[in-house]
Amino acid sequence: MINYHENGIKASDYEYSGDREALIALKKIPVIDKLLSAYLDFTIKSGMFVQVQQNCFRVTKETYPRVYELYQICLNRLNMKQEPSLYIDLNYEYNAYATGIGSPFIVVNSSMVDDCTDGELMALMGHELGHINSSHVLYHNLARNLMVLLTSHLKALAPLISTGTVFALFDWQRKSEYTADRAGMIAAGGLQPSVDLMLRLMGKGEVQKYVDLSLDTAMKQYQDFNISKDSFIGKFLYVTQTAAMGHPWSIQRIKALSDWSKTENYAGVVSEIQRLESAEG
Amino acid sequence: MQKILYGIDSSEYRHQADIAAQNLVEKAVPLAKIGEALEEFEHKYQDEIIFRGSHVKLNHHNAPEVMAIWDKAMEIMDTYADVEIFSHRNYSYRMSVGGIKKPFISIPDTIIRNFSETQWLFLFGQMLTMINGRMLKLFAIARNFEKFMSLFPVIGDALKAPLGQWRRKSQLTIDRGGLLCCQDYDCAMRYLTILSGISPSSVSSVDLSARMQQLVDAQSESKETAVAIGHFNQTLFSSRSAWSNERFIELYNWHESGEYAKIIRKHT
Amino acid sequence: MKVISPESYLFPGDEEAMEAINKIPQLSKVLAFISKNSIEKFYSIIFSSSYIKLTSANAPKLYHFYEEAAEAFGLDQLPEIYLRRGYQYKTDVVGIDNPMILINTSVLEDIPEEMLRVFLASDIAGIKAGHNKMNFIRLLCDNFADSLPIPKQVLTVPLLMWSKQKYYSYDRARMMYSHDKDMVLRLIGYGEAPPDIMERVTPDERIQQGMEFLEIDGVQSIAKSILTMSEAKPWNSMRVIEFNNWIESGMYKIGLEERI
Repeated sequence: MINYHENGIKASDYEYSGDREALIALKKIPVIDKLLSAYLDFTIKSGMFVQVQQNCFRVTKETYPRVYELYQICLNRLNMKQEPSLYIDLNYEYNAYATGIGSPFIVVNSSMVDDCTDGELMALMGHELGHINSSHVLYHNLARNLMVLLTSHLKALAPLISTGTVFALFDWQRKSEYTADRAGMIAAGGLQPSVDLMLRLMGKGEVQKYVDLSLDTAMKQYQDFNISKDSFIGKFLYVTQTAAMGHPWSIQRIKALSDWSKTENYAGVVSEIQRLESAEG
Repeated sequence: MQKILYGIDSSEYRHQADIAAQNLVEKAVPLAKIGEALEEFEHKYQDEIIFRGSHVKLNHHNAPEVMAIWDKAMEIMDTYADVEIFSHRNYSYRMSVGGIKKPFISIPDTIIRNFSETQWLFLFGQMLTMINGRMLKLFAIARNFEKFMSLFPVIGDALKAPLGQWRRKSQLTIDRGGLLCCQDYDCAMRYLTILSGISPSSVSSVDLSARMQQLVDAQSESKETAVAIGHFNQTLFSSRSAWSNERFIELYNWHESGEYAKIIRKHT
Repeated sequence: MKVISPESYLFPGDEEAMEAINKIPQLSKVLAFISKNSIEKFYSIIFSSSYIKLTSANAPKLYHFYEEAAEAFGLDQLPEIYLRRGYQYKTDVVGIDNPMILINTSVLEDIPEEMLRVFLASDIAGIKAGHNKMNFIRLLCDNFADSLPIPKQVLTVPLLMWSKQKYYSYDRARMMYSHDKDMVLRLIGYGEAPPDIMERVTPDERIQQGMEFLEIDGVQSIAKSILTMSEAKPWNSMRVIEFNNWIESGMYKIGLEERI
C-alpha cells in the first residue's frame, strides 16, 4: 500500500547529473517514444512477464510479509506513485531487474533474498524502484535490445541510427545506474547497506571468517583501479571496454555513493524524508 | 508417519491431460521402441560414462540416510526398482531420472544439503511414479527430441507440440505421486513453492493459503491480449515444463477433490 | 627443506609440454610481453573494479595460506588475489609475469580450513611450473587460430589435452605440499556430494569407481574416448587412478627425499 505525498521527494531531487538531461533528449526522438514503446510493451508482456507471472513467486503482504514490509518502506521512502509488483525468481546468481513498460514489475533472485541483510535487500529493491521512478525502463530495454533490433526486425532503420547514438545510449544507461544507486541508498536509509550490497555483488558472499570488508577496503581498491588504467594501453582498454557497458564499474559505483553521501543534496533528501516520517508519527 | 500404499499403480492417479497427451503422441508412430532404443543408447554411451567418470555414487555405506529414505519411498509406493543413485554439484532443486532397463537418479547437492526427510519422500515419490508409470520411454523421446527431430524430421515437426504437451502434463502426474509418497500436503505445496522462487530456508515462512488465493485470483482475472497471446504461445510451443504456478493449483485441486484421500484409503 | 620443484609434481605430458614451449627461443619473453600489454592490463581493470581484491590487510589468514604455499614452492612474488561469486569450487589464473588468481566464493564458504590451504596451494604450484604461459597460449589459439594457414585443431587439440593433464599435476603438487593422501583424494571432485557423504566415501571406494571407469570397454570405450576428448577437465575417476598410480609407483617418495 503506497503512501504518496504530493509534497514529498521526487526522482529529480536525487537523480545523477546528466541522467535527466540525457533522458529528455532521448524522449525527443519520436520513433523511440511511441513506436518502440508499444513494440517493447507487447514483447515484454507476451514474453518475460508471462514467464515471471507463471513461474515466479509474487510477494504480497499475505504471502511473504517479511519481504513485503521491507518493500513498503522502500516505496514510502522513495515516495512512489505506484506500487510495481514484486516477484522472486529461484536463481543462484545475485541479480534483480525492473522491467515492463506500461505495467512495470520487479524481479529479485532468491539468493539475494536469502543472503542479503534487510538493509542490503532494501538497497536492492530501492535501486530497482529508482529505475521505475525515473522512467528508465523503456530506454533500458531499448539499450539492451537495440543491437538485436537493428540487425533483425528494424534493419531498415539501422542507417538512420549512428554509432554515436548507440554509445550515447549506453552512456546514459550508466548514468541511470548512479541514479538508481542513490534511490537504493535512500530506500535503505544510509550509505552502509548500499556499500554492503555492492560488495556483495562484487563477491563478498559469506566469507566473513576470512575476509574483512568495509568502505575503507573498497576505497583502497578504487585507488588500485585508477592505477590499473593509468597507462596508454590501460586508458585505451578502459575507454573501449566502458563504452559498451550498461553499468558503471562496480568500484566506481561505491565511490559515487560515498561522494554523494557527503553532499548537501543527500542531506536535504534525508531531512525531507525524516520530516514526513515524523509527521506521520 | 507415512502409510504403505499396497498395490498402488500410477494409472490410478495419472492426470487426465497427461493420459490424453500420451495417447496423442503414441498414435503417431509406435514410439515405445524408438524411445527405448534412444534412451538405452544415451544411457550406455553418455550418462553411464559421465556418472562413473565424475559423479559420486550413493550407497548404504556413504549415504545411509538418503538410501534409507529411498528404501522407505519404495516401500510406501509398493514399487521396487533397481536404481542407481548419484550425486553431483549443482544449484537446483530438481532431481533427474533416466535410463529404462536400469534407471538412474541424479541428485544435485543442494537437495542433499537442504531437504528434510518428508521433502525427500516427495521427490522420490515423483521419481518412482516415472519408473512405475512406465513414463521413462516417452521421457527419453522428449528429452532427446532435438536429436529425434534430426532423424525423423517430418514426424518430429508433427510431434513437437503434443510431445511438449505430454512433457508438461506428466509433471502434474508425478506431483501427485510425490504427494502420495510423502503424505504431507503442506510439504508438497511448499516444495512447489520452492520451484516458484522461495529457497528451502525461507519457504516455511510463506503463507500457503494466501498464495493459493493469489493464484486463484490471478487465474480468474482477465488477461491483457499480449499476455494471453504470450501465455498460449509459450505454453504450447516453448515451455518444456509445466508452469510452477499451474503445478501448485493442480495439486491443490486434486487434493481438494478428495481423490488423494480416496487413494490413500483404498490402498491402506 | 628445499622448495618443491616442479619436476617432482609435473605429470609427464604436462612436463613435456612445458619443456617444448621453453625450448622455443624467445617465446617466453614474447608471450610475457604480449600478456603484460594485453590481458594483464585488461583483467587488472576488470578485476579491480568488479571483484573484491584480497590483501594481507583485509584477508590476513587467507593471504598467509598463499605466503606459505609460495615459500614451499619457491615462488618469489605473490599473485594478486580476487574473489568473485561462484557456485563451483574453482579458481582461475590469468597473466604470466603478473598473474592474478580469481577464487569463487563457494571455495571459501564451504571447504574446511585445513583442506583450503592445500586446495589453494595448487595454483601457486601451477604458476611456478609455468602453467599460466600455456593458459595464455591456449587463449590466443582459441581466439586467433582460425586466421592461421593450418587447421585450428593442430594447435587446439594438444592444448586441450594439456589443459586436462595439468589437473594431474595439481593433485601431485597438493600431495607434495600436504603429504596427506586422503585429503588429496577428497579434494578430487570435492563438492559432487556434500561433505558428510564425501567423508564416508573411502579411498578404496573411489579407486574402485575409477577402476570401473577404466574398465569400460568395447564399443562403449569409443564413446568414452569421444566424451573424454570434449571435456575441459579430466574425469574425477581418472584423476583418482592417476594419483593413486603415482603414489604406488614410489615417485612421490623420491620427490620427497630429494626435497629433504
